Amino acid sequence: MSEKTTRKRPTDALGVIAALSLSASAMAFAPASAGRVRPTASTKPVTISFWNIYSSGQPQTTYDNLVKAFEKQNPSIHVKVVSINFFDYFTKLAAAMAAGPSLTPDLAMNAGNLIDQQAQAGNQVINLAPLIAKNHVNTHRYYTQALRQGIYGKGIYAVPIDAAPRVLYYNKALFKKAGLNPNVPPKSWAQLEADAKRLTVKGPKGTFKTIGFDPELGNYYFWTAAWTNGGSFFSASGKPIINSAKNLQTLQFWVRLQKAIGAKALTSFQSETGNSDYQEMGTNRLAMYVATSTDMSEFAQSYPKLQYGVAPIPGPVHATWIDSWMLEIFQHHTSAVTAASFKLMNFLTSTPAQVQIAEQTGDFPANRFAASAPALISNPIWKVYTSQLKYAHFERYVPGAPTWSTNVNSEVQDALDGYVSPKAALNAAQSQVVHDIKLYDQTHP
Amino acid sequence: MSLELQRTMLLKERTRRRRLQALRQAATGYTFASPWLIGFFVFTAGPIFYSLYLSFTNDNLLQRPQWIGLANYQIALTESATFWHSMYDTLYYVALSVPFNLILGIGLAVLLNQKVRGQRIFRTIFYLPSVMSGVAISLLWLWILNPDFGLANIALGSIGIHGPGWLTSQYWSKPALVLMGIWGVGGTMVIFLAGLQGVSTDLYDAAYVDGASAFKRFWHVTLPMLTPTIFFNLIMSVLGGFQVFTQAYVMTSGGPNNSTMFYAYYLFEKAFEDLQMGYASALAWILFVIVMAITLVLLRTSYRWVFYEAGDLLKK
Repeated sequence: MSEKTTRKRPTDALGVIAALSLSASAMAFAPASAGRVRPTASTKPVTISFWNIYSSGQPQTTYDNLVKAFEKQNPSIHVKVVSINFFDYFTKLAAAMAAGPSLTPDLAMNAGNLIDQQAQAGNQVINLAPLIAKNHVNTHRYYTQALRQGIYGKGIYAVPIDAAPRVLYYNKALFKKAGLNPNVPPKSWAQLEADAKRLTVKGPKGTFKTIGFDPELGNYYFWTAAWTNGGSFFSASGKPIINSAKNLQTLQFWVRLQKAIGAKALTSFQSETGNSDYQEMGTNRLAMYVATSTDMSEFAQSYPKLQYGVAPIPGPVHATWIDSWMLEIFQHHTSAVTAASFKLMNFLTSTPAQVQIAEQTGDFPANRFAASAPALISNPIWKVYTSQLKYAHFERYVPGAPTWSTNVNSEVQDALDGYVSPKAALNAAQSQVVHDIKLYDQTHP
Repeated sequence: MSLELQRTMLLKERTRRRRLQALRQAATGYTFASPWLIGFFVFTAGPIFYSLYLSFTNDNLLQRPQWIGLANYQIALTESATFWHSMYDTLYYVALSVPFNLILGIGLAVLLNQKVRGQRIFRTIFYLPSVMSGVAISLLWLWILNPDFGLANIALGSIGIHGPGWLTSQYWSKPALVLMGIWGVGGTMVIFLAGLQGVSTDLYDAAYVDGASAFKRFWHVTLPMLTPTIFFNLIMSVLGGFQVFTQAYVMTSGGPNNSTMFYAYYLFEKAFEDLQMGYASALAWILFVIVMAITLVLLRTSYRWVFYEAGDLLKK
């Protein structure tokens, strides 16, 4: 299901998950209970640091409350929460890692596609597998595709705190207005293109009052579209196949969609109001776009009367993209700190905590039991999200080209802007990634 | 003990005392200067030399760096198309922005040096953009350069010119950023203003008596007397031009079609996105060598066109 690299990781990942699931068979189908543990007997006090990206708003309140609840249950553990703005987070984490153990956090959030790099380094984060086995943590509680992002070789280096599958949001009121059935969202590319055309309403001087669909709006990204066409970016042996026929077909489709709007008109559309994509849909200026579950809570908060639906991303193949936030524990800290960090990690990914996060922030839980909690699953939109996890792909880490997706995106953008043909764009992306990998091999004897 | 010996011993003692005193004075001086010295060695010189070491390694922040000799330099100079592309974009920007910056700076300084009503207000208005945050300016210009609703194209439209796509066009993106850079010419202008204050009125009086027109006084008095300031601003503008980064980072992300992939932005991407610190350090040192070479060339040639009031003293 996932992008493969030179490592035989997926096989290993499945093996690791299977082994750990078996070892924790006693708890296999019991919802995790870490959130309901009784206060532990008083032991030597320990302070741990927990770095996260929630520096404002409801997510910060939710996580602060969860940490307080954890401290109440574990009086001997004090958690120093360090909330860092998302835009500064990776720079600060990288600086801490470069500075060494005295500055690295004990428990930290990190992006799923960066875990492999740390695991490969071997001196940054701990392999959680022994702790998971020792503490009988049921790994079955994590969605397999979400957990896979934290698996490197035969170890588990991070566990997911959320899983954010992309789905298609569509504005039912605009569907009705355009004479389309509001309960039948597009399933194929042809339907998406036809519906987008009918939903698009032109304004004066080449501007648009309503855009039906544009690949650049929302959280779609080229790789997601390519996966929905059965495309792939790396072969089984790890060789880049960015300019494959399937990917070219996808980009040609994207360019066609984009041409219906035009790059200049799209820039104007975006800057006319300065709104986010969910706001554009909330104000009936955008009929369809691809996004994560977070937008559902944005609608509930800002546009409670909006009539909208969600559906799988249209395409020949069922596929979606997830990019989870993961939790990892850094090395070189005392065993008491590591144990306390693991306890907090386990608490935050437990079913009650994950339900609380999902209810309050709209983040889709990585814990499958939480995702199917009655309070959440009763919402039909949530059901669509849950159904998509099994089709999820994620960006693979490639040692020589860690930013391959950015390179691809950049070339795709040039094709969408009309500077180069789809074929030339993908050939350029292919050359760039091949070149980066070659350079990496040259500098890493 | 002979008198001669006593004198010799006395002289030696005096010399010893003088040396001790000089040492004490030096120690006192260094003690007072130590906060700066420590800061300089730890936070400036140390990282500079460490980055030189890193440029010969494959450092990625996460693992112990391995020595790979000149590989990073060889890859950048001979195998990376992006390196040369970023160099082209940067040189293009420098070649366009530096002359504009200097000419406009001198022009504004001369105008604002005139004794007119509201002189100070005008000086403040023109200087104001140069004290604003680069990010704030970038965001503001994103609006000004908007193809449909931006002030730039509305102004062009009012005189019948269909404005370009600016930042959405690979052909106009660099000129757009140069145009934006000109807006911050206030810093250069203030230095020229200071330079103009130093031009002796006697020279203007003498030229006037000789019958020189206003243009000739500007050409034969103001400009030659301003050459040390022009030289200083030239060096600073070249240095600033080679380090152009914020606009590309905030406004264009290097696009469209890599047309604003400036050298500093490429370096940033390699260091903080790809975590190739070793390679990025090599890029930083290559930039240092290029800028140093250009500065030396400018210094060498400055003897031909920079005139100091001290005459030839500085040439010796």
